[in-house]
Amino acid sequence: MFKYLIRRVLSLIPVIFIISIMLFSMTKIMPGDPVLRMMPDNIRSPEQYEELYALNAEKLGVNDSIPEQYFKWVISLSQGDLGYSTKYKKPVSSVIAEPLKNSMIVNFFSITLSFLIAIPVGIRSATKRGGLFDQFWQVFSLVGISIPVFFIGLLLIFFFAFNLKWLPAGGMPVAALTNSTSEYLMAWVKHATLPILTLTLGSLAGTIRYVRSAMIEVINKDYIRTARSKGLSSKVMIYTHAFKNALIPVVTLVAGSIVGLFGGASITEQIFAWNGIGFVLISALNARDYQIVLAMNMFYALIALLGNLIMDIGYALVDPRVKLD
Amino acid sequence: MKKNKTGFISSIKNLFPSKKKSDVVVNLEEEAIVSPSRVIFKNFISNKFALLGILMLVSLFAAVFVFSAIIPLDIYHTDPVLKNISPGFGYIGTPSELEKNGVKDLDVGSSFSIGVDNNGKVYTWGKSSDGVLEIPQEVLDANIVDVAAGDRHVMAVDDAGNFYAWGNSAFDQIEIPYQHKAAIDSEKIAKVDGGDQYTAILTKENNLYVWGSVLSNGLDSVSKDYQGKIVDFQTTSYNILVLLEDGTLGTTGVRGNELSRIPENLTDGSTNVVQIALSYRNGLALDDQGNLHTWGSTENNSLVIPNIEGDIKQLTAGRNHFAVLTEQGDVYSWGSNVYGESSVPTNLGDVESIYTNFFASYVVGTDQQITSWGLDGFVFGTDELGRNLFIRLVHGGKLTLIVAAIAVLITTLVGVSLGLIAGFYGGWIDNLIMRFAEIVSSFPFLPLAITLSALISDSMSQNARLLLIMCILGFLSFPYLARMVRGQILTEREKDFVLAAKSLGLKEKSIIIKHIFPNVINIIIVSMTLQYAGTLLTEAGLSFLGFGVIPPSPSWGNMISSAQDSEVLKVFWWRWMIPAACVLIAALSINLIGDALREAMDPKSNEK
Repeated sequence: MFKYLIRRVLSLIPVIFIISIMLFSMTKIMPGDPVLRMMPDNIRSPEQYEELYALNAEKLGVNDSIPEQYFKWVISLSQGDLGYSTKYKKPVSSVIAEPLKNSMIVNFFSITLSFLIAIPVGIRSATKRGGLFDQFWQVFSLVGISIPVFFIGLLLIFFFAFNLKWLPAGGMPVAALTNSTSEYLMAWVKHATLPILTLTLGSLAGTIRYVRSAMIEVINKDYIRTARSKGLSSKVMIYTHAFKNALIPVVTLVAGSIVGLFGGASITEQIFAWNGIGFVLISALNARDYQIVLAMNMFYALIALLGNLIMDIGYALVDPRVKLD
Repeated sequence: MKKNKTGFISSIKNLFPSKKKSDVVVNLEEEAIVSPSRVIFKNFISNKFALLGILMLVSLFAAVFVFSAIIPLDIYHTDPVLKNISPGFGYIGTPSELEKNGVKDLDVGSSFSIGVDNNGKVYTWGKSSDGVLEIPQEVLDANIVDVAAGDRHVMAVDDAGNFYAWGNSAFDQIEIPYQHKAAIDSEKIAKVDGGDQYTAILTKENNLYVWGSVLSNGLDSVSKDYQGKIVDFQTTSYNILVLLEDGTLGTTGVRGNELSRIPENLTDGSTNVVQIALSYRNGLALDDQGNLHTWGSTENNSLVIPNIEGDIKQLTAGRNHFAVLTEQGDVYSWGSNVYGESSVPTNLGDVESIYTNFFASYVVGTDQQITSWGLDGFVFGTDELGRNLFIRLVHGGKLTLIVAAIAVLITTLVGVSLGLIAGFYGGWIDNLIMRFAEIVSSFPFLPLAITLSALISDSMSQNARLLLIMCILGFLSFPYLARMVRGQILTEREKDFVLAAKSLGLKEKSIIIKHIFPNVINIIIVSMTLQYAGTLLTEAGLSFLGFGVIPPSPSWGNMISSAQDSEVLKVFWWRWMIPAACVLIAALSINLIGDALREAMDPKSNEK
């Protein structure tokens, strides 16, 4: 196990290296001059402009050759320096810290919620195939995988925020404008409800289909038939024999969701003006703030690779037949 | 299988009676060997969800492609006065009571009309979000003799000379301002008319008073040279054209545009003008010799006067077109024909009077019958620039469906060929390809797609941009297919028939293509179908965020992005719900087909 881990991590190094080169060159061909973004508005003379331009170019390090820039970036990255945002005029790490937290909380709740609903529903649909319950969730999940996530979000705003006026349509509470911590927390929960609901509904359909088909696969296996013929109660059969085996493919999904935990739900965050990581990515792209884009994509890639690793280990944990070597 | 047969299929079969077969023969046929593709086909069409999906998809495709071929899209065409109109028809459906009692006066607004019958009763019809259709009680009580329509408000004058107006009041255009009140009361109203959120009153002492939305066009300051001499006026967005006592013309409002440059012979007194008409960007004048003079923009062919036989009785103008009535009772119309406003019906009898404004015309025949033509409504309403959403929807749908289709083709091409190569050759080639697939698939899909789309320069032409977006979407989703094909090949190549083919001395290439590939094609078709639905959603999402198809070119996604404005989301629901529903229907029908295909191809599916 330990040996396997070492080897897996080592094999990740060239992959990370290639990804970093790809991402770096990608931001280099992004249109727009980042130095211009750093220039203040109140420039009085051409000389002052030249001077400031040179100063800012030096600060951003765009005068060096591209390979040089790349190595400087890699070195500073390894030291934990993610770069300097030209839009917010502060270090990238401090720009994305707060949105990352916001995204993670919303994603955590929506992922938990969707698994809490999808796993029992998927199991029940699979065991009582063709029944009314199954048919309902089949239709639900078919519509669910076909509906654009922004449509879900817009409909929720339309009904819950505008027509029923239960919840705010978007935005985030400001701590300074609330009287007490509990009031702030309450406002926070209210603002987060619709984004969480949207993300949950968006991922629920796919998860249910996945759990259902994994479960059906297992139920059709011979050992379930054997268990049945031995006279085991269907409850014992489903929850001890079938579900444990159906869990294996579900683990893949959970690992994928962990990546999603950090990844911004760009569309949902955009709709609800939720100051999350996806929202920051979009505004950074619109502002051509390539340092943020670079840092975030690199971060996503690392998380995804880590997720794959966790998934493989998870496989070994739930399925003793899988040998890591 | 038998229980799956729907009544629908058997009833279709009954439509085509064949020779009676004995039950034995039928049973024998079912036992006979059928090719896998026939089994798949049979399974597929016996699934009623598949048929529903196909029906939905085919009708959607047919609607999108047929309508977009019939109706051309001018992406730069806008009509601000028609903005944000909800879906519906009936703009020019004249009330029957008005027709019965005889029309005294009638005027056309942007999406509604107002008329008054010979008994002095006012009618309004069409569509208005400003309350034009709710006629105030005092107007219903009064004996109205004159009515007029602005773009979003209407006016009426009764026999005692009282002025009434209702509808949009954003610029107080429905209330005579105090500084004009005394003058208008004492001079008595001769004519009222409305323009784009402003109202103009001409008094019997030939003075013109204008108020409402006049800040940007300065229409309220009528030159002293004109006041007291004005006998008629016509309104449009930025100008008012006035006809003076001496038969010359003048304009008020914005200076220097094509409308204000009236030909010299109409202003210096050499021509005696008797009637005028004014469209958005063109003027039309009739002199006492019966000649027509026109000036203004060359757009819409408004300057090209058709050959008119007979003497001209009446000049009228819509937003972008003109219509004239001759003494002989014939109507001639020319100019823009976007809404059919200048397509005069051929079966008009003798026409007594004509009322034209904005996008519609009404004529009253000598038999008192009213005939109307022009803009009758919008199936799916209009957007913030007054563009017809139906046209944008079919053209946007065409773009969305094609972009997604090409992206899927690219995915399939890249995914299948890389999967085949990796699966068959194995070794370092396999390792390289799979590592590459891992890298691509390790990114969260949407952020990477957004980042890549942002790389595309805005200066690029729309088509080149689209092509690149298709490539990005197609390329990013190849790893899934490549992995699946590779996995399938790995199992297939261990099978005996491959060994047999190898021992027969067949080349590797032909083994892959002729023997292994047909065994994985089912998976490819299913994955292509499901991928198509997914790409459709991704493209819509990208365009929604502003990184896909960029306006003014329409796509379903970018049409929905207007819903990020809370007013649109709340009030103008048709602007986002309809395109979003289109995306949903398209994806749903494709998913239905994909699911049915998968079930039909998987022999175990009946157990599931």
